[in-house]
Amino acid sequence: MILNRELSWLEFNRRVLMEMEDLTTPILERLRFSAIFASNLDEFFMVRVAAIKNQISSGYEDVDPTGLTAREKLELINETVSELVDLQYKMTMSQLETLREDGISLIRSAEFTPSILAQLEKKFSLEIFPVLTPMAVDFSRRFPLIANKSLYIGVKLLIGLEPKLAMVQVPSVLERLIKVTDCKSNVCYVLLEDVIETFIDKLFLGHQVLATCQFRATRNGDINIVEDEAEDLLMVIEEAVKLRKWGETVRLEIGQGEDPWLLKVLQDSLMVEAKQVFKVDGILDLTFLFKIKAPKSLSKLTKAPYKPKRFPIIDKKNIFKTIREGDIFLHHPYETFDTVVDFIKQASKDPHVLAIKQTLYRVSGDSQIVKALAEAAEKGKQVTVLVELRARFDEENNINWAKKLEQRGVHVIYGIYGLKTHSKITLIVRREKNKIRRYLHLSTGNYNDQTAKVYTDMGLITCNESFGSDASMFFNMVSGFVTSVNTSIMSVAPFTLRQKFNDLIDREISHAKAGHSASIIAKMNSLVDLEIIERLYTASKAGVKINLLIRGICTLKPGIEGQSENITVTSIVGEFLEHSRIFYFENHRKSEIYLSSADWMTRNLSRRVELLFPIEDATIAERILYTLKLYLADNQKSWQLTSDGKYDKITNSKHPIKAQDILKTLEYTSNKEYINQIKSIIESK
Amino acid sequence: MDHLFAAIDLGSNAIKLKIVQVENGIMKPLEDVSVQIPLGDEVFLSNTIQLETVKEAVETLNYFKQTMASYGVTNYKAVATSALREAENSKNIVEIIRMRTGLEVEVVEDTIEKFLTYKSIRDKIHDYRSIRKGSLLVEVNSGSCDISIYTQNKLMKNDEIKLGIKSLKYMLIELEKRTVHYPYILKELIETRTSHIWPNIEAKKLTHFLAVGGEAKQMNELLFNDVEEVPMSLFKSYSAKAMANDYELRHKVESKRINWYEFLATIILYDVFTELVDAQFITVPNISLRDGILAELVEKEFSLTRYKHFNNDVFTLAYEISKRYKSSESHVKHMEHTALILFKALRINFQFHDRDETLLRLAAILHEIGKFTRMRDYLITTYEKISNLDILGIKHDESLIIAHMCRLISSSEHKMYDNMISGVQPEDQIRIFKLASILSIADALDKGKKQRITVVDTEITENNFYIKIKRDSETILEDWSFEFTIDNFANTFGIIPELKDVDE
Repeated sequence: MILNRELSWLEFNRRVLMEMEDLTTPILERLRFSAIFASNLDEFFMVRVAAIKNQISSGYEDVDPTGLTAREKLELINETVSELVDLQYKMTMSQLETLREDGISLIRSAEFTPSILAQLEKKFSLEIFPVLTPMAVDFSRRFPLIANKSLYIGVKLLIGLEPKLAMVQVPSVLERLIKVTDCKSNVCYVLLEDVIETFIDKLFLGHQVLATCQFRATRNGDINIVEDEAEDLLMVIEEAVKLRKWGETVRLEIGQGEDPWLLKVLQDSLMVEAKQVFKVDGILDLTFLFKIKAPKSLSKLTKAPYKPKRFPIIDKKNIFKTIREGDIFLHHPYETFDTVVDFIKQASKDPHVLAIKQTLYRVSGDSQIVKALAEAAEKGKQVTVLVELRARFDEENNINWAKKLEQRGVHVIYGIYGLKTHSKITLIVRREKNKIRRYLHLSTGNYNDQTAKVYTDMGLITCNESFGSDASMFFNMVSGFVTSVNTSIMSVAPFTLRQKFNDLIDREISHAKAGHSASIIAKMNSLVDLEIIERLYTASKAGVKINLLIRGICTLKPGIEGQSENITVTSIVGEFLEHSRIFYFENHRKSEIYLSSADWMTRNLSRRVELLFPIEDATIAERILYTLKLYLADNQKSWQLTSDGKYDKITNSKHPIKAQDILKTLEYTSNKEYINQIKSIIESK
Repeated sequence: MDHLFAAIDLGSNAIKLKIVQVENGIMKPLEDVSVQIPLGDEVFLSNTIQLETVKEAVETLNYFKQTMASYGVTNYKAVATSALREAENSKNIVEIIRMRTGLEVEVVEDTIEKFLTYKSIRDKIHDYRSIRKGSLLVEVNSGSCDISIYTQNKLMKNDEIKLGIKSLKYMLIELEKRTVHYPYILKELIETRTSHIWPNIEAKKLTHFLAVGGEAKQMNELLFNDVEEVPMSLFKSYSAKAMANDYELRHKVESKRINWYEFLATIILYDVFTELVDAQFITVPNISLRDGILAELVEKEFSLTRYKHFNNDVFTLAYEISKRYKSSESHVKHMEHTALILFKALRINFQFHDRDETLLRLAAILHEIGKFTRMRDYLITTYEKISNLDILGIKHDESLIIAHMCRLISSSEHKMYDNMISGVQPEDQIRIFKLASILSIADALDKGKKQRITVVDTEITENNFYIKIKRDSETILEDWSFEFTIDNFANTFGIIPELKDVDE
């Protein structure tokens, strides 16, 4: 009795899209949700649809736990995607019109005035033409590589008496949005592909262009690495990234004005079934919407940049002193990620620091943390970094960091055979007056200072000895020398984490059976693990009240009589991407709160290296609990999952509570003050 | 003063590292890493360790070195045990490790390994005092079974019985072909082979049972969730199941890739020995060679006295041996006491070490054990016996030094040596002569075994070593014997020993 995983994901993307409807959000921010939707969908095709297509092509005909075959699933996906994409384009085009009224216009070819054409022709000749590579296709040549997620213009040429296919890639090295002047709006943009299409004749001089169309292919992006044969994982992944370009085409998007001949030739050449061809009535690849910027004069069209709080106050010269006085809890992006960066920077400079160990999963382009680690190594500290090369679609980025760090003297390790290291942990070993003290940062999110501005994550900095001891054990394990862990406080996947969750749920079940109040609040990105779902059903049947805050996929069916009537599933989709994984267990008046890098997904619990750690400081634990309660009280950005897999938007205009906005604006000088304020907000509801 | 210490143990199945920091005299672990590298398997099969495995060991040791560096540890000790002891290419391996990692590895003998492991009981068992009051400690190994008895705060017995898991395993496999009751047959065999030591153990009325070693730990993890104290009744219920070849138990054992016959041999051995004590629990202490090494490093750095009872176990065991061979206890004690006074007087001037004191005391305690089998020239027999003795905490080289010292008590034997002792390291030659000269005087001063002379003080001058004594009665025999020791002492130390009576 579970929901389909892929359809659940599409429902999540629907919720993302519906953010475009929030009129309290400035228009450019609303359009960003269309771009997020598009980008999410690309990844969905590259991974999930590609996997289903693999199942179909390999003749796999078994049904999944929801009773669907791969083919049936693909049909349902295509139906839902078509519906959602229609909705996306309708909303986007309408909002682009509104944007035009507000002073920013996107001008398509049909609207080019002679003045604009003159500007564009100049631009084309000087800047665009030199980087274009037109490719003719005929039987004597291999069909050219169509790069994944790249825009192309297909051209039907008349050569002799025969139509021939040619194509040109819209170069990604050039800005897709081109500003033009002498138009009716404050700011006018033209799309690069429209410019190329307008002047396409110049590329094929001497031949007649019969028709053109814009198209875009999405390919299977899942890298299959045969680790058994991997002498050097770094090299193997570099190769695999190159091969991704050649993955099977899983979607072909075709823009307006398609010519039937062109469509057929492209479809045949790319070996795409008709069902995987999506005709788009508008602009292809809406991720360009991320790039539309409002000039200062139109700042109302966008949100003011959010400045995170500097809380808690730390000793700028000696963060270690602050940590010794008590654990530091951080809730990003409301509280600055600079604290974490400073922690690592100070460690890299501190003469008493002997060693730094860290896991890096997804790092930003210009990471301060990576720089600090390299500096530390150059200063002679023992720096060990686990770079997870296999972070999906970030492989190339990670390879670059790994190489750079190695060159600077950092000992780089690449994790454990067959397991992605997804945990987020930093261990700093410091010598203090003849005593070794270990400082730790543990988090639910990656060491990425850019995403830390838009993802909600929680982190803890501590020098608790038990944590330090567990962390050392953990790093020995990820170094690949030790094959198991025997941690005392933390739980580690794939070794002890699943069992720990099972035990925690079972404990609530026994409390409920003993007639005590029993409850669980769990916040995560996705819930799909069957074993956990079964346990939650058992808990619900035993009377345990379960409130789940699941942003993305949830295959658990809530509210079913006799199975899950004590379970609610809420999804919060807002300005910031909900990313923190928090687990609260009532435990009969001795409640426990844990943070984790893991979702309740089989891959997290069984195929990845993940960490779960308890919050031992009572005030911090209470603060986190009230944050969870605030999320549950949200009635502006919340969606409630129903037993049919659909989500209902929760609204309350009388006492509106928008958790993310409250957390953005809340002023406090202590965790106690934070708790009191959240308490009064919830109670006033 | 250093507060960080590391111990590395290159064992048969794994290479292990433990790093501790000492805070307020207590060792707090910072790292405890174990990397599975089966050095022992290769030695068992081919008597050598293959280069591929050495490479793996070197990689691991480099990782350990890096880990030590990440804490700034410089005070460490790395030891290798049975695998390297038995490997024909052990010297090469130690050198490869030194060249590739910079780590100095010492291959320790079995007696030292056990001594250090048992020493860690002090830190690893909270109620170690009650353990020392009366317990039977059984360590089941692949090649043997080690039996120790703690009673009255002393280690009274430490014996090795040649009943190892590997050989018992093959016996079980053979027996299974003949009868379904094969576990009972093996139990009977073990009982027969060990029955000679039962009365001694039973007489002690021991109330604790300690199961030590890798096999015990494995059994504990598999059956009893790795608790420190396993209820005896629970253990017995499992041993009954094992004896009955219980299918579920066998499945459980084999699903963990544990050899059923080895497991069965272990449980039968423990079953037999637990019958000899009146214990409510089987204690499976989390003691290790690493902890023992660390205890020794810390003891040395901080001049600690808390391990003194464990250090003294060496002497109590020696006394037990001495008693077994019917040595005169009063004479041995008096001689030990006299030798110690003389040694302490000479210690600074002649740069003796703590270990010299230990060897001298052991020689005094054991010097008569040859008498039991041969009265005439008994010191030669003593020499032979000590040369072949395994004394807990004493290396074989040191046993040889003790043996030579005992033999040199006799001035006539001294002459036979001709200033060269075969089979002994050059740096130990003069050490033996010096210690033996002290021992000779101590023996001479109680030649009549009546303890008529008591040394009360000493004085060293440029030419003389005055031994100030009190006499109980006529001491012609002692005076005469003393005269025979003067030349050897004077030749060795460059000063002439002389007895001086002190007035009452």
